[in-house]
Amino acid sequence: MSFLTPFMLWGTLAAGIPIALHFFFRSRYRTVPWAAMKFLLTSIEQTSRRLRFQELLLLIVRCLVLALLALAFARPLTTLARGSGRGDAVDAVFLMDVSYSMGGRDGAKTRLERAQQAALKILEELPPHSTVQVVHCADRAELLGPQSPGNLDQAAQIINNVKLTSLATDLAPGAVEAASILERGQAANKELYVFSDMQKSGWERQAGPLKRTLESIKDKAAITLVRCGTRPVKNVAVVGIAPQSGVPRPGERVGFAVLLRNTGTEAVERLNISLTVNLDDKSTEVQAAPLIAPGETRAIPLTAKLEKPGLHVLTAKLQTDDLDGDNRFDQILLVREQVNVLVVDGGLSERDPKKSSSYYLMNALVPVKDSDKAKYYLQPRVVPPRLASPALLARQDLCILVNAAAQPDLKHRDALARDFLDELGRFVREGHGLIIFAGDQVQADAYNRLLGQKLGLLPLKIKGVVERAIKEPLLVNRDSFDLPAFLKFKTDEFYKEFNRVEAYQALELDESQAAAASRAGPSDPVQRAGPDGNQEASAAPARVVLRFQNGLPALAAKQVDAGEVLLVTTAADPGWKEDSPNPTWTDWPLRFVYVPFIDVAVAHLLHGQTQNHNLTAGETLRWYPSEKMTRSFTLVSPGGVRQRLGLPEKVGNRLVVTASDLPAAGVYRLVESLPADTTPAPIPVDDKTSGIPLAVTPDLRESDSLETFSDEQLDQRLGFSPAHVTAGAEAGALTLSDRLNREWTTWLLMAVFGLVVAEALLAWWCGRAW
Amino acid sequence: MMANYLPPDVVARAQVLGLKARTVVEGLRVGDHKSPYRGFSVEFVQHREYVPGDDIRHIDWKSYGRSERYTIKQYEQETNFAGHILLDASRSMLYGDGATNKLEYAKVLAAVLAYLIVHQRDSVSLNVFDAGWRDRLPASGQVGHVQTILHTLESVEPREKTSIAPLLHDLASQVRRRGLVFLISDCFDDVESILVGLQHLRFQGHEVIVFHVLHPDEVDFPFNGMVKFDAMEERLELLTRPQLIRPAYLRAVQKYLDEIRKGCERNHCDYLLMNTGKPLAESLTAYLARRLKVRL
Repeated sequence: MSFLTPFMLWGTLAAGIPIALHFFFRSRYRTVPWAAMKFLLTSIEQTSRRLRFQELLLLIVRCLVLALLALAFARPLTTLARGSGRGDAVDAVFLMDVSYSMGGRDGAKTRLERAQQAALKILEELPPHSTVQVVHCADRAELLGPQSPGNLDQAAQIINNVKLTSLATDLAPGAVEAASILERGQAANKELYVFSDMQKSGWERQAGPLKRTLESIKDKAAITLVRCGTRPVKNVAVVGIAPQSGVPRPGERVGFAVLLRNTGTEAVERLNISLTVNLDDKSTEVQAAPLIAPGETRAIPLTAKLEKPGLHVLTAKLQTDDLDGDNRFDQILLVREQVNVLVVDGGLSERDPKKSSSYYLMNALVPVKDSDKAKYYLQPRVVPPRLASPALLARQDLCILVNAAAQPDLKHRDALARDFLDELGRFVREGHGLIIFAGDQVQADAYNRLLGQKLGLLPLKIKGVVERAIKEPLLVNRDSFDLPAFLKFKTDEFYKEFNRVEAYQALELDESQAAAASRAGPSDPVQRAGPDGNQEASAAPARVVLRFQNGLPALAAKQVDAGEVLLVTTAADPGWKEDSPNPTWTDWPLRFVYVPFIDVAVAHLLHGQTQNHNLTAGETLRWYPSEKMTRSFTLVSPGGVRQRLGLPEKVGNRLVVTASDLPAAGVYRLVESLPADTTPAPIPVDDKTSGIPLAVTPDLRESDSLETFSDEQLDQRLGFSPAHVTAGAEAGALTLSDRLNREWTTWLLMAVFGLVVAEALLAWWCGRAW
Repeated sequence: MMANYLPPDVVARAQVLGLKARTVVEGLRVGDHKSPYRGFSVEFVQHREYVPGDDIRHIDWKSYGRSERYTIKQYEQETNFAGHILLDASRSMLYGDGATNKLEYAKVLAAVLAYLIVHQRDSVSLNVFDAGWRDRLPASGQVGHVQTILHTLESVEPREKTSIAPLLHDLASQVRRRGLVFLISDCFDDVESILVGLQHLRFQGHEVIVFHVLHPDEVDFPFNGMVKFDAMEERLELLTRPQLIRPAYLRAVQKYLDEIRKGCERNHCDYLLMNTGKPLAESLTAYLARRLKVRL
C-alpha cells in the first residue's frame, strides 16, 4: 500500500487521543463520601461487565475513527504503486511498444491499433489539468511529445500517428526514458502506461535493468501494463536470401534460397513467397511454400535474373500471415563482371606448380578448361609471400593466404611483409574477404601475434597443430555447417561426401575466447572498430562454422568490420611429401566437394562485401565514401523521407558518414551531392533510382520467439504487481475505475462517517441508564 | 451553645397532634393511654369472680345482692407510656450537608419526639447506638429530662458502622413494660436481621415505629461524571460513572425499601421514610395526623 500524502499518516497517532482522554478523565473525578455502598456495589456488580465492554467498544470505535480519518487524509492507494486518486491531475507517460510484433493481427485490428485505441481512451479519462508524454519504444526509446505536456489534443494526435518500426522489443530503454520524464513531472500523481504485447523477449533482453527501473518507477508512479493483443500470432518470417550458385554474374539467372522460418506456435501453409529484383514487379518470381511446422526453417528455391553488373536489390516477400513486419526481406547484391582474387601461396613452386600449395585451390577457383580461364569471371592471381605488396591488394576483391608464413625466420624465409599485413587488415575492414588456409608454413605464434592480436583478423587463436595417422584421420562433420551460405552442404544429400573428407593435420584453435565473447553477447560492429579504424584488434565474436567429427573446428569465421575472414584449419592442398605417397594434411582437395566448397566460400565472402549495404533495422549506418572529393550525403528512407547526413566526418584516417536512424525495414538510398558552397547548383536527387542502395531488414530477434508473458509471469519477474489491463473497449473504463478504486479516501471517509454514526448511536446506547 | 434540636415550627405542629400510643401500653401513671392493666378506674370493663386476696373494696355488692356471688368490677385503667427512642449514630448517618444531614435530621426528630412525649406527660428514654449502645438515658417523664436528652443528642458523634439487630433484641429483652419504640436510622444493615429484631420487639408487645432516614441522594442517586465513592463505614472506594449505574442503583434501593416496608407491615410496625430533603415538620405532622386519624 502506498499513500499520496504519507505525512498525514502521522495523524494516526491521534488514535491515541481517546485512550489518553480515557485515562485523563479517569484521573479527573470527584470524591463523594458515601453511605449506601451496599447498593452501589450491587449495581456495579450488575453492570460492570457490560460497562467495561461498552467502554472498550466505544474506545475502539473512537480510536478507529481517528485512525481511519488520518488514513483517509493520507490518501491510500490500493495498488502497490503510487498513483493518482479521483479528480487529481496526473502526469502520465504512455510508453508505446512499436516493435514490429505490435503489427500482429489481433482479430480485426493490429496490436498497435488496439494500443492506440486504449491509449486514446485512457487519455480521455485523465482528470483535468493532467499532462501526457508519449514515448515510443522498441529497442530504443524516443519521446514523441507533445511539446506542451498539457496539450492532450496534440497527445492524441501523436498517439494516432505512432508508427511501427522494424526493431525488436526491449522495454528497458523505454522504461529509463519514462522514469526520466516522470522524474521531471511536477504533479504529485504520476502514472505510467505501458502499451505492449508483453512479448517475452522485450522483458528478457535487459531483464535486470528493466526490473530495477520499473521498481524505481513504482515508488513514484502507478504502473499499468496494457496488454495489446491476446491471440497467438501465426507467423512465418523471411530470415534470409542465400545465393545458391556461387557468385552471380550479369545476365545470368541465379538461384537463391529464400529462408522461411515459422516462429509461431501453429503450422502455416498456403503461403506464397516472391522474389523481386530492384523492386521491379515484372521480375517477380512467385513460389508456393509448403506447410511449415512451428520452429521449422525452410529454404524455398527461387531464381532471379540480374541483368547488369552493379548493386541489385533483391526483395523476398511473403503473402501473408498475421505479422507483416517480417514478411519482407531486402538484400543488396553486387553483380560483378569479374572477380579478382589474390592468392598468396607460401608453398608456391614455380618449377612444379602441381606441388604448390595453391594448386588445387586455383583449380577449384577456376574450374574451367585452360582455354576458358581468361574469360572466366573469377581471375585469381598467385604470388609468393615476398611479392605480396599492398599495391597488389588495391584491385582485389578477395585475398586467400595459403600456407603463408606471417613472419620470416630461419625456417620460413619467404614470409608476408609487414606493410602487406597492415594493408590486408585495412582491406578486410573495408569489406573484403580473406580466407586463410593452414599449412606447414603457418606459424602459430606469428599468426596469433600479427594476424590475431595486432590486426584482429584471426578468428580464433591457434594453439598448435593436431596430427593424426592416416588410418585415424579427422573426419569432417557436414551436419555442423553453421552458415546459411553453406546450408546446402548440410541438407543436400549430394554433398554427403563431406563426411568422408579426411584431415591428418589440423590447426587446433582456442575456442575459449569465442565462448567468452558469445557469452558477453554481440556488440555493435561499428563500435568494435578502434578509433583509427583499422589498427586495433577486434573483439568480434568468431564462430566455428564447420567441425570435424571429434568436435575440433574445421572452419572458423569472423566478421571484421565490413569484411569477413574464414580460417580453414587444414591445408588447401593434400600436402604431399616426397618421401610419402600419402597426403600429410588432408584429402579434401582430392574430393569433388572441394570445388563447391571453395565456390560457396568465395561467393559468401564476395556476397559479404555488400555488408555495408545490408543492415538490420536499428543498426548504425557507417558509410565510408571512396570518392576523394568531399560530398554531402542525404539518406532517403523507404517512405521517401529525406534525412540530411551532411559532410562525412573524419574518424581516424578515414571519412565516414553516419546515420543511426534506421528504424524501418526497406530499401534506403544514400544520395551524394556536391555541397552547395562548391557548386552553384546542387545535383538533383532522384530518390528511386539514384544513390547507393541500402537494404535494411527487420530485426529478426523480434520474431524469433513471439511468446508473451502472462500477467502472473510479469508480476513474478518484476517482484511486484502493477495494474494489468487488456486493451480493448474496456481499457479506458478499467483504468478509470482502477483510478477510482485505487484511492481509498472516499471509502475511508464513508467508513469514518459510518463509524461516527455508529459511535454516536453506541454512545447513546451505552449512555443510556440500564 | 446548644444546637437547636427543637425547631419551633416542628414542635408546634407536632404538639397539636400529640403522640398517642396506638396499642396498649403499660404505664406507671394514669395518663392518656389505654393500659392493659384492669384496675379501678372510671370506665367499667367487666365483672370477675372474687378470689381470695382481692381487695374486698372492689366487690360489687349489687351483684352479690342479685346473685349471692362475690364478683369484682373491673375498670379500664388509663395510663402513661414509656417511649424508647433508638437513634442510629453510625458513620453512615453523617451523609448530607446542613439540614439534609441524616444525623442532624435524626437528632431533631428524636428531640421533637422526646419533647412531645414528655409534654404529654409520658416518659421517654433515649438510646443512641451504632454497632453497640453508645448513650442511654433511662425513661423519664420529667420536663427536665428533655433538656438532658438534648444535651445528649448534642454530644453524639458518629464513630462506627451500624449494627441494629442485636440492639433491638437487647432492648426487647431489657424492657419488660410494653411501650413505644422509635427506631430512627438509615437502616443500612441487613434487612432480615433488622426485621427479626423488630419482630422481637413486637413480640414483647411494643409498638414499633421505624423512622427510616435517608438522604435524597441515596434515594435518587443524582450524580454525574466520574465520581469516586468513598465508603463512610468501611475502607472501600469505588470509581464509577454513576449516571450509567443509576437504574441499577435505584432498583437496588427500591428493593431494599420495599423489603423494609413490607417487613414492617408484616410485623405491624409503623414505617415512615424520612427523606431529609423534605422538611421534618411536614413528614412528621403528616405521620402524626395519619396516626391520629387511624386511631380516631
